Amino acid sequence: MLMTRRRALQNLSIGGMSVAMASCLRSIHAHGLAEEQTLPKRFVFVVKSSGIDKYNLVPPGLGNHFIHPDDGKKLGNRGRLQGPLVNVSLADHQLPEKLASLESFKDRLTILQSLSGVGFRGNHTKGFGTLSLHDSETVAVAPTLDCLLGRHLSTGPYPMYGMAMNGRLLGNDKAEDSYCYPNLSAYGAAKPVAYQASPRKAFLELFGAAVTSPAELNKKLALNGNLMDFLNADAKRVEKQLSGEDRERFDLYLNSFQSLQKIEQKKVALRERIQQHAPELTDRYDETTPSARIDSHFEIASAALISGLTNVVTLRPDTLGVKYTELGLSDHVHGLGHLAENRASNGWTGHQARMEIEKLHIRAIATMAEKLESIPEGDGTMLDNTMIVYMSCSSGDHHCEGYDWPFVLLGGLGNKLNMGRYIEYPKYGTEGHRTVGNLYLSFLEAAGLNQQVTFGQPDSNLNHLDTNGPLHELMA
Amino acid sequence: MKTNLASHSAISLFTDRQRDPVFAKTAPRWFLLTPGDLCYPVDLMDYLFPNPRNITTLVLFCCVLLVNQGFAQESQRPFNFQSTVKPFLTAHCYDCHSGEGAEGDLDIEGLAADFSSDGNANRWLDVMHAVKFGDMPPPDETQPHSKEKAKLVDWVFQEMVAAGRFEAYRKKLLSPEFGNWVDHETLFSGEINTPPYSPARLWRFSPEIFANKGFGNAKSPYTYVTPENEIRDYGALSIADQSTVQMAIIVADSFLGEREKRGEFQEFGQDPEQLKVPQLQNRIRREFKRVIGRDPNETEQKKYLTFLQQNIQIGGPLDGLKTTIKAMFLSPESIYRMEFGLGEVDEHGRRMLSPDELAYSLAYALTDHGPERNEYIYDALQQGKLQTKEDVAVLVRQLVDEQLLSGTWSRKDLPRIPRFFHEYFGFHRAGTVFKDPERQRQEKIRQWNTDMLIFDASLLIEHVLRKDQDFIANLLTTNEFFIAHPGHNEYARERYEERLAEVTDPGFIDAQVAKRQEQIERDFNFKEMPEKAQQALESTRKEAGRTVANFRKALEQGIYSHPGFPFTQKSRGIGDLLYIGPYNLPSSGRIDEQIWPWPLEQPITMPPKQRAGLLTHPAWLAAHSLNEDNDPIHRGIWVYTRLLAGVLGDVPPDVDASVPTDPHLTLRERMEPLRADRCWKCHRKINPLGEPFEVFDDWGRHRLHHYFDENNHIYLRRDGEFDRKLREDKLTTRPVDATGAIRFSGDPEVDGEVNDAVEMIHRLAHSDRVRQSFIRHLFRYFMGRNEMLSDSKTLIDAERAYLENGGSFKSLVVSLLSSDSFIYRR
Repeated sequence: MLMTRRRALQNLSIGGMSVAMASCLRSIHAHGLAEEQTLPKRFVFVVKSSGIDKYNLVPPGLGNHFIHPDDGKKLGNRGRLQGPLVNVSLADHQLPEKLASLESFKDRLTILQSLSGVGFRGNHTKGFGTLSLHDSETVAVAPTLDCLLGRHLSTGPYPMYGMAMNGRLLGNDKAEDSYCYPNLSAYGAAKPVAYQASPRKAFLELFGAAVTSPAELNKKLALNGNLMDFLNADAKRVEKQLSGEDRERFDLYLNSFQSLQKIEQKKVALRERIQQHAPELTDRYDETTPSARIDSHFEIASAALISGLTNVVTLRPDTLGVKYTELGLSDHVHGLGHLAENRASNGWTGHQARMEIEKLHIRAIATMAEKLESIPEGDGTMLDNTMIVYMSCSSGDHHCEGYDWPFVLLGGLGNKLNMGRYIEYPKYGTEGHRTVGNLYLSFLEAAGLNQQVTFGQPDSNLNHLDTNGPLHELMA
Repeated sequence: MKTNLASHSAISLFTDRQRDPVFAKTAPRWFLLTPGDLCYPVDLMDYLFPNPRNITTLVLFCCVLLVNQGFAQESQRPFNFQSTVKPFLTAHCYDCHSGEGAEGDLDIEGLAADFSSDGNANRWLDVMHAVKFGDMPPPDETQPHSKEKAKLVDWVFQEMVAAGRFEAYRKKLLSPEFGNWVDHETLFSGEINTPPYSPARLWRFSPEIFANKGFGNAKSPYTYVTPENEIRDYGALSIADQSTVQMAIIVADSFLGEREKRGEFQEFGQDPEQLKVPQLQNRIRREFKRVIGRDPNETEQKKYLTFLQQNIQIGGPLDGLKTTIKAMFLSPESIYRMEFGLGEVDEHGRRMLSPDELAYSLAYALTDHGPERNEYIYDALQQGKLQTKEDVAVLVRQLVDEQLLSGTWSRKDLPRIPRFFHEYFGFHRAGTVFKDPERQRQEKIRQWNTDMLIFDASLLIEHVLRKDQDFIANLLTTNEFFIAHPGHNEYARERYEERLAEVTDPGFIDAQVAKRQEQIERDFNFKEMPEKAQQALESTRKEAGRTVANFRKALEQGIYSHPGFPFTQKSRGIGDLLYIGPYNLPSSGRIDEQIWPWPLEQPITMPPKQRAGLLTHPAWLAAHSLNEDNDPIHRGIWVYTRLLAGVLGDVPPDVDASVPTDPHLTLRERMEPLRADRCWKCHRKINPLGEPFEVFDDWGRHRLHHYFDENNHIYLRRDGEFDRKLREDKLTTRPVDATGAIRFSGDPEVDGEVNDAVEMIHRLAHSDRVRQSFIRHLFRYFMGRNEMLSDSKTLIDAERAYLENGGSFKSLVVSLLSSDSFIYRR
């Protein structure tokens, strides 16, 4: 049943709270209870472009299968050396240089190497296929992992929330100031999710309640309720003239008014919490350097999770067109991907430049982890129930073939995953090799969504291997 | 979508009519699928029923489904597995696809006739597709008769319906990539007498239309969901869901914010008591016109007035007004085009579009604006000349005669005409294929300017359009190209003479230096660095001197120096001849000595053995290439699907798209594994059509040889190193193998082996199939949907109009836009 304006106003008024909102708050306040089952679970996907290098993700002292044994040079796609399953504790090893800023979280860090995701197209990105594991570079054909998890886990207004540097993979480095489509997340076929590119707008959308007076907020909500009622009535008039398929499509539009009202209701229910945890709105949200925008995106994402606005966030810290000028680089991310041993504008080799960019992302992840660690939840902290996943839409190299797809996991999911490990699977096609689909199944199982044996498009070149179910090595 | 068919009140009437043999033969096919409709048109899935006599049977079966509340016992189904399907499978499939070790791991004999699981249903669909589209049985085996195939197809669909899977499958086929699945021979056979129509529909505004609505810098909240390499704007696939509405709200906020800053809402900053009703009414009228694009009617005026007054009461005048405008922004009419067919109903139950609807439909078919922005459409509407089909034909004829090519190079009066050629040929995506700069340098492409190549290709199309004779064949075979030219000879001459006069003026060099001096003083702070300023001036003097010398030399040699064209309304900016390498022409920069005798009068005639039409244009070749090589597979797919209306099944999920690397082999040799049985059943359709383009490299240069170095590695460099190795006899050559074959044109005169792409295109260009396939794609573009069998008459009429007018594209457009498919809804 659609809500009338009056009812909506009653629900939305700050003084009174809808019964419907109670569950939302119950879940958020569950951290007061010690029972693990009731603790919320959260995910943060940080999906960089241009690949995450795998050769410098191996802890020193372990055999590195991603470099040439003679000259120590990085091996290309599909070039990794043969080797058995490696599953060791990070406690016994030094972290690779680029993960140094995660040293204090070593026990909650797991590095996964050599999972494969093959069979879907994309020269520089798998697009939606990154998180849906379908051949889906530019057009969404299936729900993506973050949206699936968001729908299952989030009790706040947003099933998932995305922020990106800009929407075009090969776009320029000009900061976008609005929503964009980075082609990463989708609720289903033809339902791509727009990401917010502007930190300021993201702030106002998520934490507007924190900087608005109660009277202003009430006025805004009342106007919005009136608007949604009007549109609803207007749209119903048209709906009567429609039939079959058109009506089905039109209902998506019509229902959106109702769901947008629900978002507002849920935000009102969270007002106190939003005010408590909202970051400060300052001019830094208007800065245009990539690192400043990345820091803002991470800051807003952390606060959104802590406030209970959502349980799943996907961040797109760069695209191929981004130039990290603050690192002295006038080359864009794409150009760096082709440099290899050649020198970038600041004198770094292409490999070095790529590592420094990854370090910059890792530092932002470390800051986020510190914030989550500072919030008690159950017997531990929020970080114990939040999984931050650092990955790339282009697998393990600038040109994504998907044979070796590295993942860096940080945090926990209520002790359901083995953390503090370096796990490297055998080479693609050989006994013991596992896929990204198995990793995603592990996430789903840990999140309590364990109905499937496979995830995404199967790779029939691996028919001879067991590619069902979650990663045994990762599951606790 | 779930179907609940049991309680439908029209069942008995419907069933009786379908039982009528005359109705079954002549009337459009109907199929009860959705509870919201009396009936659902089945034409869209007509290809499913290659055997028309089975329609009635299947419809009856569906009625049995209704009576049995959505489920029919197997014994009641018209097509029985044991008696209908098994004999076919035994005769044609089981030999290879049985038991352990079955070909392709597909054990059809062991496949249960059960559609309840995804896996089984999908396998049966695979079997059906393989048979229907001729992939199986293999070509060297006895081929089943089409009637036999039809039984299998009918049975699969019967089971899909019974298992409740059919609707999802049918919806999938609405996408453009499945357009060719409607049987080509049947479409053009002349056997279909169903009066054509389009389903009544909502059609979300395209991003292009949104961009032209005059909302300032607001970005379009809409995105296409169709694949990038297909026709983009499909009515049934254009969705506005919560995310779109959210985006639209953001867009509206930004639009309103900008206007507030400009002071456009000042009168609403005052005491609400001061705002009188006429003032509010006036404001509503203005805003409605601006956002929706027309005047509000009386009811709308009243409704919005009440709404505005409520809003003012809740939130004050300014926020009240902004909320009211936002409602206009988010209203259905702002999001959707609506084509319900509000005109008269004809004897076939079709509703004609009303004059208003026709004006909008025509405007959006050809432009990105509403009808008020096109004088011809607007006048016709005002003068009551959009009442009949003939009226529409007269108007469209007037539009294409007057405006087909009018406008500036960047802003055409009918922008959707050039966009069709972009979407059909895909050449405008040349810049999306990344080419490594280092490779570019080594392979001696001095400048990789895909924007210019795309512009040149657009001029080629315009040139063929201007002639409008034997259009499709000419577009595919012409070797008349435009290179580094604005497309208008008069303007080219004007600009050349202007430049000649400028450069041959005795004071030219001093004038250039003075200009530079002025610029330095204005833009740069060189006061502290006089030597730097001096260097800049010297360099300008030197460059000007070289320009003069180059011009003189060119005059002596009797060639035209390229004058450079600035960005103006008359021409795109064309700096120099640096980018022309892909045409096998010697490039030169602005101050280099010009080697190529640039023709002032264009088009120029390219070597006929090297170039034949748009598919041999570097823009098309680049758009259909890979980062580091040609892309014979996608080129073959393009030719097979766009020119031959060919059907390819879904790409198997386990296909490994990468071609093995081996430096000793050519790309064609590396693709040899695709000739293995498992791959060849699909690749036989596409590789022989894509490999003839090996006569070009991936920059679009024509070539006859591959080179190999001392290690027998393929040698791709073409720079000084190449020249040196060639001189020192360190390279060996092998001729390029660009042979291929046409096999599926439906015409034995056209089918056969070819030596290269040029020969293949000449052979294809005049074929019936290519002409018809082009018309099918143009139909999809204008109608925003795939063709149905009931569109047969529209397509046949369009082809006739084209042929009777000497191969006229204009006549084709007139025919399609005044067809029943365009103007009737049901």
